Amino acid sequence: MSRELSFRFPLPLGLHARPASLLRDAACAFTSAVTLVNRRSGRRADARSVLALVASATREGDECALLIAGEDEDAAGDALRRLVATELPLCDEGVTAAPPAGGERPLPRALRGDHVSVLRGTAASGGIGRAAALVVTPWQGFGELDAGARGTPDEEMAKIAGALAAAGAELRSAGAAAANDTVRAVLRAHLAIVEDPEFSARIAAEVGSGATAARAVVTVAQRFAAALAGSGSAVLAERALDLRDVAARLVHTLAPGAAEERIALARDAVVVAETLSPAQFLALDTTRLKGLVLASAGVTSHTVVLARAAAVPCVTGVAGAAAIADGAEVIVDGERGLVVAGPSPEVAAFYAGEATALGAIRARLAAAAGRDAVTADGRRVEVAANVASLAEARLALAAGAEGIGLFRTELLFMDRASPPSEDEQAEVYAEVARLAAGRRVIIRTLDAGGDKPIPYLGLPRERNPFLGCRAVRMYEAHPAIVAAQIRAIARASARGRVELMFPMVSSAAEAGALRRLVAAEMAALAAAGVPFDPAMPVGVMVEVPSLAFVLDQAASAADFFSIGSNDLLQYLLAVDRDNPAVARLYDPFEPAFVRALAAVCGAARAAGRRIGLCGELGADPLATPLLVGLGLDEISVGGASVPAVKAAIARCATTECRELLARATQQTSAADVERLLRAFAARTAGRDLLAAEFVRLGSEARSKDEAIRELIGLLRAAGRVGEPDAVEDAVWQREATYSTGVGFGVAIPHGKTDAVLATSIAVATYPDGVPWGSLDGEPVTLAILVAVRASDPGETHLRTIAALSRRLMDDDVRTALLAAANADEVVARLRGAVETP
Amino acid sequence: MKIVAVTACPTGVAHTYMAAARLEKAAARLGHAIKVETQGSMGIENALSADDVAGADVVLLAAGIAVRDRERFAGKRVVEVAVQDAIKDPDRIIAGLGGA
Repeated sequence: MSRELSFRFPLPLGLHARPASLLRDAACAFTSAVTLVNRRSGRRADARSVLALVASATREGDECALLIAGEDEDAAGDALRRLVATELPLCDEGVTAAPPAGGERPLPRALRGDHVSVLRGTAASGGIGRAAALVVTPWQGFGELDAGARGTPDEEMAKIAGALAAAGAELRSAGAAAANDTVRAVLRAHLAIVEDPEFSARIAAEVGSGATAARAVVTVAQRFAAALAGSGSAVLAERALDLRDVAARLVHTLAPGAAEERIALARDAVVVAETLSPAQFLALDTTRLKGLVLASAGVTSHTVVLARAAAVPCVTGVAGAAAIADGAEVIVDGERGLVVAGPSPEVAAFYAGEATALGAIRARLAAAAGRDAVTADGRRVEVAANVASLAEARLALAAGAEGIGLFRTELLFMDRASPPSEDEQAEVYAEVARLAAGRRVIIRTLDAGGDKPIPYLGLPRERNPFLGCRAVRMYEAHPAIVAAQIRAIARASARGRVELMFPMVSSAAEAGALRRLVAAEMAALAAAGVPFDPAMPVGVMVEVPSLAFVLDQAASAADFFSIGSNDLLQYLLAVDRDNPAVARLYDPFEPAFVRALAAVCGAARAAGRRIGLCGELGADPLATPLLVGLGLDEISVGGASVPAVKAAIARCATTECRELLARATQQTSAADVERLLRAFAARTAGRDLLAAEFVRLGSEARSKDEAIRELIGLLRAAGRVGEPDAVEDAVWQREATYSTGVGFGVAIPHGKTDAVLATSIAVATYPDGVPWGSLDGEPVTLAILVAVRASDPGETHLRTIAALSRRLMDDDVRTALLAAANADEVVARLRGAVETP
Repeated sequence: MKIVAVTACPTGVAHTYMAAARLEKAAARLGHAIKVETQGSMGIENALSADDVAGADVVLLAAGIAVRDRERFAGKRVVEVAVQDAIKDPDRIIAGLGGA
């Protein structure tokens, strides 16, 4: 017997490495043979081979089938059906393939005109780089592959086995020493090719028909590469470079001299090439690599991903790259996707300014990262991060997370044949604590279940895994695994501020039993003389609604609570949000959910327990005032959301947030709650229309051009402007109707565009005066830039700007502004002027 | 003299309001009554009523764009100026209204 599963391939990027790995992992959990058949191309692929799956050149919409045959074919079929129906279609979420559609963006003003020659490409890695060009000769293919003595097929096969083993060992040790996780991931992808069963099987077949080892490797790699290139998917075609790298690595051992040479950077350089492989990039000295210009298109190749991770500016798809002469001065604009060879002094000056501006933006982000989150009235709310790996923890802490509010441990348990040892886990947990440097780290015990396949747990296939034997409910069946994890977390508590948290607890009795488990393991550690912190806090997640009603009872077993808002919401509303038929019912602003949150926070406070929230609701700035009103001690969000949540907290005061919450609980629909929150956001957003950092006193700008660019730059550095070029254009478009120099030495340049992220006002004074073409012909000594967000200006903002415009017509207001001694005074006087009717 | 005026400008962000403020001050300085309707980003504010228009000696339109609901001024004496001129030299404009 065998089973057959037909489906239409759902992903727009085609069957590339990520979905292929997903299929491979699922197939490897069973003993049955699993074959993918693509009915359009007629190709078949062993699902255990990522390479074969990728080489099947499967595109979106292809009619496919999985053939499953073997002893456990029924279980395998069920698992794969589930995978194909639910996980596969979501596998590329958040991945963007192509740059946004739409025509060419206009050049920045400074680069327009006949005297500047600009090459256009696609911005692949940000930043501005400037150095002499190093033009790399296009790859000529492998050299002499059959030079050495030809052995018998067995001898050649032995050579290949040796070369594969050596390449595997090299990639593994390089991965362990990798500078960052991106490098590690690329090396892992290469390792997957080296270890791919289909790859070695086809090489063996080539050797069997008389090829030398090196020839066989190159032939097979080229065939796979050709299949990828012909797949019709840009993402797949870009993976051909990885195959070339692996082939080169093997050829290097099998036929020394036939592999390509490395590129040496003797001094700072911008590398200009048709293509560059990941291995070639990794061999470059990135301290000297100032930029990368590639003629080939693509923003998803591993080379580009590596450039991004190394912060090397990169522009791809530069059609005119061949015209760049070796040694020519080149500026790489990785922000706009532009390359300028032989820049004029004006262009060089523009880019020097750009580099400074980008530096200021980085400095602002770093400064904001170092500040703790406090409300407008001074109440601390910790903003921590949800992470699943050391790498994520590192990024989140760098982005300003005040701790790790949720360390998910599932990744440690996945993709392996047996559970991680206590020692291995203790090391990882201690490393997170070390990274957190005294800030709190909450480690959640294993939250596995029927929806997350971990083969050695022997989890049952369940009809409804979310209501089944997941998380703490499967602990009883796996006492050794649970004990090892608890001990590992306790051991890490001796090395930093570590806390332990149990997921999916549904009753006080269950919380008590889990707490006793911790006590027992601590006693065992003590008896063995292993150091740990006996006062390590132990908490439970509030995500099963039943626990919300007995929090007072559970408090005797828990030192703290953390609301898992995603699960609590889906269980409370009985909505599976991945089910499109009911997804619209999944709304965190549902009044019942708001009331549940209020009740949980109230009960935790009454019991004297700390209460936090981890879940997507925490990352929505619209919800922040509501969460502050709840009195949460901690909000834990994805690392990238930390700065925005901190800023949202700083905008609101505790008392008004409590009133907001009280009103929200009285609403009768989610739409009403949302309306309430939007009105609140509009009101508070006006508070930062103007800030001291948007003010420059005594500017040295000499022309209107410079002055406007500088004003926009102030807002850009503060994160209020997204695309400065577009704002500049909007402002100049307005200037074209008639000058905004209104006389009395005052100009009010303004523009309305969505390149403005938040409506803002910037101010500069010019002691020497700037010619502005003003109505009265006088130079401008005070300029006030009004940057309005077109789609969502906010009525309060417009009212403020209107009031400001009127007040600027008063002599005394202008005199006071010009006499201000510092930026704070300018802000205070402008605010004062606006608030005085 | 009783003046009613409308100010409006292309983006409706700043000049509409600056011109209104300048005209109000200049009229007060010269001893005239004035009511200025602004047609800007906030929509129509300080709207002129039918009575305002009926009782006015002159209608002043200081706009860089077409003024909305212009037909309500039919039969009145209407003087049009550029919005930037109203900002630059409101006294001259107000003074000039009387000598028609």
